[in-house]
Amino acid sequence: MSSRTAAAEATDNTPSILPGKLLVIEGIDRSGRSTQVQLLVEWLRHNGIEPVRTDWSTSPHISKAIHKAKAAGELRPITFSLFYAADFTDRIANVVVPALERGQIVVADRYVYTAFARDIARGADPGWLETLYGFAPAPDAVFYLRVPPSVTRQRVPSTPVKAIDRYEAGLDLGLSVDPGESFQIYQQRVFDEFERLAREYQFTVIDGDQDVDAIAKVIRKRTRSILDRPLTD
Amino acid sequence: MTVAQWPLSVLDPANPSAWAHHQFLGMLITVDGVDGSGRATQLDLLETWLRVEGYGVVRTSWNSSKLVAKTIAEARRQRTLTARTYSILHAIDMAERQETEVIPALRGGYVVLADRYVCTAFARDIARGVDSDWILNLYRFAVRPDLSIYLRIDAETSISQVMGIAGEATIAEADERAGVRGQLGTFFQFQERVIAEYERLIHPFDMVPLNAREPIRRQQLELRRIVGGMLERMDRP
Repeated sequence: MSSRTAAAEATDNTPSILPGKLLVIEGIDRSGRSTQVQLLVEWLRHNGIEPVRTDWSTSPHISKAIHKAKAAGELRPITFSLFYAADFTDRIANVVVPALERGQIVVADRYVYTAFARDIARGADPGWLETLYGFAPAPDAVFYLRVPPSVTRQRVPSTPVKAIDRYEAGLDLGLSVDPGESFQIYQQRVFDEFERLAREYQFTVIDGDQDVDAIAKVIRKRTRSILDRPLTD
Repeated sequence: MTVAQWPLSVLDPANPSAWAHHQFLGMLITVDGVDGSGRATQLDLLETWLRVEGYGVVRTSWNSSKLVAKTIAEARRQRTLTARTYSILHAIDMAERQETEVIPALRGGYVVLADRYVCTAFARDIARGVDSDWILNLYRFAVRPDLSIYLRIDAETSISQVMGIAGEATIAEADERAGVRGQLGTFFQFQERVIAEYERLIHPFDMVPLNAREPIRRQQLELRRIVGGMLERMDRP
């Protein structure tokens, strides 16, 4: 039951109680998030449930402009933030809310918390973000894959990265002239912010440094209780 | 390496009149008003006058940043975006111009003339049904203008002006622009709502209203009197 909004202040006329369920998987880059999103979707399908999946930065109207601006290195902290907000807003209006209204299960690869963590790491005011994202329906569960940057750094990215992503490494912030070091400092800031958000928004915290099946099992168990249905493994 | 900073959040949605003044050498003059209120005409004349008086002038115009221009244009044609997404795209346009055009010019001591500013975003988006606290919060990064002019005109006159310039086709386009997803009825009604919202913003945002139905020359003389007085007070050449 999505009876609250994701941020503290509700500012929308979105119905306060939607019949569907919203399941969110969060975590820093290379925390194993996409793998778990995929596994959760497949498991729901295996149980005869067709979920609606929504991934970060995939609005057909906005994401192209983001990728273009990122490739050109043209984004500043404020425009970086607003572009992702536009993408998110579009997906909420056209994908998430309609699906929840129909009573469907929505699986989101990242949600407002990724925006909060990254933008605060870039210097944004938390109150500004809470109001900006205040219209978003509150998730029924947020599965947070906790993996510190000292571990993610050793992992091979799931999608091939050309050299090092300028923004993923926080190179736009001038933290260090060394890309490797900048990546480390920026990802640590984002991680610290996730840790704070985990307490504030009561995430389901999962140790992401264990094997894929063990993580999936925790997610399934909690999902069963949210959906209140006996689902098989 | 240039360090990109988060712009200062200075506009408090709960108390717009306490919006902090900028500390740059230059001056920011904004002109708001509906289409057909004569913004471009008045700005052209003001710019010429300022240049003759020896000021360096930089013009910046609503929806002109190449970062989002195409996305906004496409969205307008296809009517695919909700009012809220559309607002954020306009905020991206403004944030980008603020950082690349407005602030560098103000820092360099220029007079910056902005064709439409935050109150245009507020009036249009509130008229489209976006919550006013939300939209004011969105623009908290904006630099406070030193002078904010509002060209006051009624809906009927403004529409006949627009048609006089570009003919009937413009109204169809304007209708499209008014109705993100087309749920809003006619352009005339929308224009009236936008005007009502501008009127509500005059006081909290310290806008100076000019009667846009007056002859162009008379409005311009009044505008020059206001701008001239302000430049004198600021003790500049």
